[in-house]
Amino acid sequence: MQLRDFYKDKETIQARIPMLRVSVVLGFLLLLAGLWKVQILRHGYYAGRAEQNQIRSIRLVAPRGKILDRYGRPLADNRRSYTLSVTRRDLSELESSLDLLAKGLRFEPGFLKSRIEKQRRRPRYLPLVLKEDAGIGEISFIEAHRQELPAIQVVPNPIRNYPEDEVAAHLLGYVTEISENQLESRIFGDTAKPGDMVGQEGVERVYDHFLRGEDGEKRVRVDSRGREIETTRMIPPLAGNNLRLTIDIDIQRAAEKAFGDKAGAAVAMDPRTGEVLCLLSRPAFDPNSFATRISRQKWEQLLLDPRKPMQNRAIQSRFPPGSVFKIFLAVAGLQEGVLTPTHTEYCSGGAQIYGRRFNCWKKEGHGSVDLHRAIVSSCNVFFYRLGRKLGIDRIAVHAKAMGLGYKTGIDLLGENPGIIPSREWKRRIFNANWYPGETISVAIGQGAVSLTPIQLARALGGLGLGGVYNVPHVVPSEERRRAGRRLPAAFKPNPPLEPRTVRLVSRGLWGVVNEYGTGRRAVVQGFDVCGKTGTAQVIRRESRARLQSEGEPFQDNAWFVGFAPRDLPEIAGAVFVEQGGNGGASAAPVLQAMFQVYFDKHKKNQLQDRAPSAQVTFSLPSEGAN
Amino acid sequence: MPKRILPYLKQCDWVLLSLALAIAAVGVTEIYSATQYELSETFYVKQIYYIILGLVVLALVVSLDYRILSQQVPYIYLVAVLSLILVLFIAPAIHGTRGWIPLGAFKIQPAEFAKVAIVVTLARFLSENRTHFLTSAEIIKACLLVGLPLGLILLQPDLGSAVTLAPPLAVGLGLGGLRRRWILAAVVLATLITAAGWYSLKPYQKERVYTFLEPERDPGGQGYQAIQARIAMGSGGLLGKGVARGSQTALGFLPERHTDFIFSVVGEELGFTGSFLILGFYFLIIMRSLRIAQTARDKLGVFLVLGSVSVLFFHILVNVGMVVGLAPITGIPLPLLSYGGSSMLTTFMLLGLIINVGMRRYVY
Repeated sequence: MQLRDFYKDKETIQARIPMLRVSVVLGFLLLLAGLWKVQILRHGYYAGRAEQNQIRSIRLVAPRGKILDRYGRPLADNRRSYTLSVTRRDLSELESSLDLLAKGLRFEPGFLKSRIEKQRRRPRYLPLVLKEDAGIGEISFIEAHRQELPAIQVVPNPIRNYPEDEVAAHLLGYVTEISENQLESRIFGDTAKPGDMVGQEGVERVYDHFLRGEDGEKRVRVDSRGREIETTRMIPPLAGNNLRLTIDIDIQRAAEKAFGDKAGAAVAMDPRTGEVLCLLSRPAFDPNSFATRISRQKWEQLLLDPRKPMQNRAIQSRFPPGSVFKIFLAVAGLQEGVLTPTHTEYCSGGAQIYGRRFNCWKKEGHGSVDLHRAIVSSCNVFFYRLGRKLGIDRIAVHAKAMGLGYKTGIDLLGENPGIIPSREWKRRIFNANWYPGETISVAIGQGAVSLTPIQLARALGGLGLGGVYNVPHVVPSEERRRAGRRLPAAFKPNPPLEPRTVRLVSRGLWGVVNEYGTGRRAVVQGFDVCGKTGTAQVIRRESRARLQSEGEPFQDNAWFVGFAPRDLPEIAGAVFVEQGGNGGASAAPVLQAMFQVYFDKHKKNQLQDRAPSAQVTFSLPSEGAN
Repeated sequence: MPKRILPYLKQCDWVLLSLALAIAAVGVTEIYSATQYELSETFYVKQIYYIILGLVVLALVVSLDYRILSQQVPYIYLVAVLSLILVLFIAPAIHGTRGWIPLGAFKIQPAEFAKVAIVVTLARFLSENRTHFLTSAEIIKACLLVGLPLGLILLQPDLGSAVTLAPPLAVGLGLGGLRRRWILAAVVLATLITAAGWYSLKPYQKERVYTFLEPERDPGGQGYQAIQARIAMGSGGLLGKGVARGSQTALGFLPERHTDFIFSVVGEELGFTGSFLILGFYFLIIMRSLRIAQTARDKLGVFLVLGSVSVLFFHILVNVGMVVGLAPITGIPLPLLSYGGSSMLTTFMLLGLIINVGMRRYVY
């Protein structure tokens, strides 16, 4: 009975379903009528509305933050420019008027077509760029021909501008459009979009997140002639942050000027803080040439140039230090106690060590030399013997204790750690034993030892301060904190420098510049400059002699490193000149130029109140010293 | 086991499933078209994943006898209500409403799944009634069962989704045995609630109604979407502009063109022919489902199918009606066509319930 009821109940419900069917049919008929009305009856009206309903989205490019020197003078800013572009959707409209456009913009016929073709692979929502950095003439041409060229957009687009051109190019870096690889690897963060201009190399790259602004968007309704009718949406762009550097553009300019057109690098920094005052590398490039799309040919030219203009030699290249390395040998000898200030060696112009003859640069010999004289006149024989006494591993320990052979941690990319060789190093890299003869080469900065200019600048300043090795940086700490970037901790010397070592070596380095030494061209009157020259053989003397006899002008690499004043130095520097020949002649003047500007700015007035100190002039000639 | 599955597979309504997949495929195409100038997000690829996931869910729903399924109703209902409460607390507010629970790469919209919960809950409740007419206590109980999740969705606030819970209740009560005076009372009550509700509507909701009645009164603001949707549809004409060729679609004037306004994209690019065909597919799905209800072997089955059909039909009616200007603008997606995972899964669950009932009509 209950079962029957159950079925009956079900059937009464099902009997009502046709009623539902009818309402469904009615509902669909209603929708169909709506479709008919909108799509068929009123099609003409809506098609006309659609015609006027062209909405364009214009990307408002945010200006990058300025890069300023330590006194707020601009090293990188932006200049106004206009880009002529067309959106992908409007391209078909443009096809018939391409010839007119090419004529107006003074392009070769066919150039525009190939330019558009080249951009096919870019994301579809990015407008196609027809002409960057358009001039007044070109813009007025577009406006005058609006009728024929409705689809062309004139979009303001700030372009990166480097008012000093090549000055500090490697330090600043440059900007280009983000590459596909960079987008995929997300190294510029999740907010980077195709078409963004991002920093490549240098400060532009390292502080990109801080400098880059946020693009805005403007949506405008335009009629079929491309005239803007109304703005439907406006998100203003957000400019990037300005960034102040530690660089002093006066020192930088002085160094660039003194450098001439040779290849090499120069660094100056304040050892007390690690602030880099000047950092240059030569040959340089003009970062302005990247700001608008650089041609492939020009780019390859820069990359393939045998002089390697893109390489930042101040931090990314390592070179044998030559006689500069004698400083660290002297430090090692004093620290280890194998050397006393009164210890003398006799230099006869060469020495027989491990059954091989090693020459001093001075053929007639230095005679009897003590430590001070050995540093001042850069006697090879003295340091050959010192090197033999120390052995390579003790040399390595003390050089490394001064931060050599490690990255300094400067806030720039691609730093080279350099090489301080040791037995362990040779076994690791070459799987071979160390030959004692190699130590003798290392003792005068030849052989495997190889250092970067920034390392040497820090090591010299650190030595002058008695063993304080701050991390060099190009952005002052308060700015760096705002940009959310941290430096590695300052280098802790181990073993620490003894005050006696510092005093003796500094006196020697003072002598190099101010007595009868090899670095007299680095003298800054009133500023106790300490320094050391270096001349590093690039090729063997015999091959050089052959090359020179064949008329090839081939010269050694020249170094000059130093700090000033002698007690509590405020500035330290390293200058490297490729094929500069003699360090005292080609590198010392660059360091002098940097130190002179610093001195004129910071010390001159201070000193004028003081009585002039007694000047001692030495007149021992030392021509041709290295 | 395989021997027993075979007869079921034969009984499965493959036509219904094919129609649904055809609509979903058109959806993927038009989502691609609508978002081709967007930033890197590839909506159409995600939609394909949602469809595959939907098919898996459908297979799960179909594999279990719906009578066994209905035994789980208390749990299903509880989970639905709890997730609706949860969403009020943990969901981030987007444009002033909280409806999405972020879950890793996905966002889950509990209001969508509540629709399925309501359908099965009402079916179980009404099928257990043995009398010819529902008692007033039972009617009130049914209203409360629907009212709780509905109220929770209103708190988000999401008026559109909340309203979609009403059709299963109306159809269920209407067919489940309502006396004439009750129907009369409902009509009166509904009128009163509408009148009272009008005064409690938020200004933006009132504005939507005004705009529906007269879209040109504010062409820059509220009426904007309505006008733009119709311009897109109307400019499509008889044959449409072709896939990925719709100029209005590409303009990006419609913020919801790949979700709620996908039908206007279909209209612009495929024309009246295309939109007519899509509408026809929906019609066939619903008519076939009603036939399944007609032949279902028990009351539970009938209510499950009718509940599901009412939800789907209501969505189609309101969404397409909104695009052609017959209904006000509400955030209701078009089943199978609109972009969105929660909506896609819900639709496949409902289709699964319908197919489930159809498959087991002769089997005891």
